Amino acid sequence: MKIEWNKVGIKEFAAIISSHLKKNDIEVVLVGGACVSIYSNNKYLSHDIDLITDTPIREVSQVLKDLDFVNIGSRLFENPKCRFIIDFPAPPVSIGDTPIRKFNSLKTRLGTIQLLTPTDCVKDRLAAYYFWNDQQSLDQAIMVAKHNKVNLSEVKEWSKKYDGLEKYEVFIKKHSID
Amino acid sequence: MFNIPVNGIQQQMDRLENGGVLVSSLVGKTRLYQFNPRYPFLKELKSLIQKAMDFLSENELNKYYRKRTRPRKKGKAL
Repeated sequence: MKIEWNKVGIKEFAAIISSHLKKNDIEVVLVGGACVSIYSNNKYLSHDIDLITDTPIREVSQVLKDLDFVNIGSRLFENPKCRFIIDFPAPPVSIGDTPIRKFNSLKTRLGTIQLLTPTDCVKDRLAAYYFWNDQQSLDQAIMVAKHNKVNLSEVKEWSKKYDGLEKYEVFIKKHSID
Repeated sequence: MFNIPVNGIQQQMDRLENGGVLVSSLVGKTRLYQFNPRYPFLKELKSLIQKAMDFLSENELNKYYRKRTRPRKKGKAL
């Protein structure tokens, strides 16, 4: 199948890359802004996909060559014909010091994507808001919570652990107003 | 500060950033690094560093870790 890289959306892109890696026995989990794009129906558009894998990067690099993606350093891969970049943040998949083992599975016509659940995606964005006061991350957490079923009591309990209750209340307030 | 070349330190900072231990941001022309609060082993790593600090000699402590860090008005001698 010939892929028109300049035409694929981020969900299709994540599906193509995940499926190709899976075919080569490389399991990945999609995290970060691309999850927000998918869960908010592209209300927020990420410019890269963050994939976490336990496979060494040199092996990933070999497999991604089949799709003309080359390692440009710092665990980043690009294909000049594609507008999206692939980043491989260091494993494990975690939110703060909590390991994440349960993921969501999203079937698309181009393959299946394993990604954070909407609840973990909200926690992931709120973590950036709690740690760095990043307002974009707060907005993204709200977008995901608005478009998906999110376990808010779980998010609240998690927030306590990171002294984030005050900011959690801001999130809830904005979430109900917006 | 440690009398070693800056690029050696930069390389190590890159490795630590790629490994998720540090995060960085650009402020003006300076890249500032900090511990990644999302790093899952941060608490344990900080304890280890603290323990290692406890074993430093008085000489090393004075030489490297007792520099003035509080503000100092422009023009006043350090």
